[in-house]
Amino acid sequence: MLRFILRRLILGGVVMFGVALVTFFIARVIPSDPAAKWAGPRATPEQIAKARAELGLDQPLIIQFGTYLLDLAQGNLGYSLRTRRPVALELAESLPATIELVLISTFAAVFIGLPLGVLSAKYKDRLVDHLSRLFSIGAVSLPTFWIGLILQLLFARTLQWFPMGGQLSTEIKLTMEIPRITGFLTLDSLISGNFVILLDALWHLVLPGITIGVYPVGLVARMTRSALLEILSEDYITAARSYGLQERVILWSYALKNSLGPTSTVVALSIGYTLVNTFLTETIFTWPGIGSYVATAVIGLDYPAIMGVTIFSAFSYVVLNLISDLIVALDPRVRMS
Amino acid sequence: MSAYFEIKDLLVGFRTFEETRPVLNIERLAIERGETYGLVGESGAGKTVLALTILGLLPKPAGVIQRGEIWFDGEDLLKKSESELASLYRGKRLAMIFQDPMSTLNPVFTVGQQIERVIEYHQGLRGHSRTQKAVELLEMVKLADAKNILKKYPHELSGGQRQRVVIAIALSCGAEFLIADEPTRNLDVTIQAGILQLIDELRKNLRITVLFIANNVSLVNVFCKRVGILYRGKLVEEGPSPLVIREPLHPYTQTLISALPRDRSERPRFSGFELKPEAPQGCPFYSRCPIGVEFCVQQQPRLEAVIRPEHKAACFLARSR
Ligand SMILES: Nc1ncnc2c1ncn2[C@@H]1O[C@H](COP(=O)(O)OP(=O)(O)OP(=O)(O)O)[C@@H](O)[C@H]1O
Ligand code: SF4
Ligand SMILES: [Mg+2]
Repeated sequence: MLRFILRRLILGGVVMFGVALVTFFIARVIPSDPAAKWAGPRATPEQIAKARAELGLDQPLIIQFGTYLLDLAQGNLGYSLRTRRPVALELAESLPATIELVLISTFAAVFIGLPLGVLSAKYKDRLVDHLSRLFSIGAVSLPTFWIGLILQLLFARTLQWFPMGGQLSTEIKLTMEIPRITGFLTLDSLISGNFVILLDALWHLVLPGITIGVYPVGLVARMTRSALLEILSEDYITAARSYGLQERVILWSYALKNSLGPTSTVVALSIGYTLVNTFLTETIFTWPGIGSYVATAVIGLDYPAIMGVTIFSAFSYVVLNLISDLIVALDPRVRMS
Repeated sequence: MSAYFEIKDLLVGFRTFEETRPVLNIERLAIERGETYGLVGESGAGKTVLALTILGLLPKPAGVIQRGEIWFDGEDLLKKSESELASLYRGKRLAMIFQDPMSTLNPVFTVGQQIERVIEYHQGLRGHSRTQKAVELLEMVKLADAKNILKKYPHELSGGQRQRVVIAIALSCGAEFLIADEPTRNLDVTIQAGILQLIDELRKNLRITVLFIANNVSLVNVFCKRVGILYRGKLVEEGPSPLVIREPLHPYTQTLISALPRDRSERPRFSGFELKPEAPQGCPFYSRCPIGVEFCVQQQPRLEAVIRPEHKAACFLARSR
């Protein structure tokens, strides 16, 4: 078990190195002069040269890359060319808003997608199954930005049930003191007992939450269904029935535990996918998370910020995969080999 | 008045896209209380389908019971609802051992979890007394070091050990009728004898009735009082096992018995495989029958007593020899 974890950790390290390498060199071929940006719009050639030295851009590439790796290892993602603040700090500030979205979609995947898949398998080829499959196929194949735009158009613009975007209403932002404890708006307003803000925050969460959640819910429902159907035809399920165990127990415990491996892999992967989807969704709903942050960075060619977000996304992906591998490894059959 | 266990006019089929293909067609099969009945047939004859039909566990929606009755202790099982079967019969009164011990235990639960769940469900035992009962059951099937085995996962056990665990679970809740579906088929020859002996002992000690399914006549001869031969879903011969083995009446039974190795050096011999066309209206064995005549193509032979009343065969020519 320990060796398994170690192997996965090393593998994750290798992947991270590769990502660092690729982002570093892509940033170098982008036709833009970071030193000029850093020095400001009306800088003299001397000032630009000075900025170049300051940023280490006059060093050979290999040395630059080495410094970059060393910085990364210390959690230093460089300085934003736009705001001149540490990228790591800016990421940390916009992260909670994104995590709120990701968490919502993960909860939805587990608490809606999984039961949906189970019901679909139980009532295979019946109405419930057809509906759930129709939903899953749509959920997996419709592009997230499209879903976001349609929801916005329908429920925010036409029906005006929900706000167009943002995390809070303007009146509330202007008239009330926003609690800052953990950085998670819903959690903070809950802790501080400020239910007006909490309700407003939840109200703003609905549309982006659904937009983000649709894909993982559909994916998990599909995977759970197919994994379960295969398991339900196994001999040990027939045997369990022959002992007289109730169908409920057989389905939710005997069979589901066997499908946990594939399902948890899918959940973990879909979290990674969700992270990518938040970028578009946040832009649509002007949600102040990492997605909006990177969008601004891309438009301004703020390459340390772009690299920082890329590295961060890759890191989350590696960690999520590690977690899902660990869950799979809890299966006694895998543990043996 | 029907026997303790009796199948009447049973027709089971599997649905395909075009049609329902008949798989089992049994006019009558009766077993007395406490008896051990051996059912023998080659692969695909429908033995497992019969076992699953009795328990109401045919794969759905492919498997369909087209007609028939299965009487068990005065009740027709085919008239029972799914929930009645689950709560009153399966596990409590009827039990089954499956043919492959490698796949009948759930790989992600320990042996203990699997036994104890069944005990808890049927007998309401919890905590220490539940574990105690599980240990007793493992000891009943002669597994040494029972406490330790409870903590193991199926893949940590040998095939023979697993089959003993399966038997323990099947009999954990006092079933009186046991269907053993080729319980030794996937086990080493050396382990087979032990499992067979165990089943025979349990049958005597627990006074249970056994429907013993095998694909080999010699296994059945050892401890089944009566034997039925199943060919393509039909009973083609039935009688006291020594009689059937000594004087087989049906040509199919005869090929089965002559295929048995007489001593260890001898390879199994096969005969009766010269292929003739199928006879859809006639005898199901016609295409492989070495002695079939014109008449056999036109009509289906019925299972009828030949010479002795207790020895039956479904062959037009059985009487004449
Ligand atoms: N799920 C199923 N779908 C369709 N046909 C099936 C199914 N299960 C069994 N059959 C068919 O029913 C027939 C009898 O199968 P069964 O499993 O009862 O044979 P068996 O006598 O138990 O053979 P074996 O000795 O190999 O276990 C076979 O022809 C098989 O093709
Ligand atoms: S009825 Fe005819 S074909 Fe069938 S087994 Fe007897 S002799 Fe052979
Ligand atoms: Mg079988």
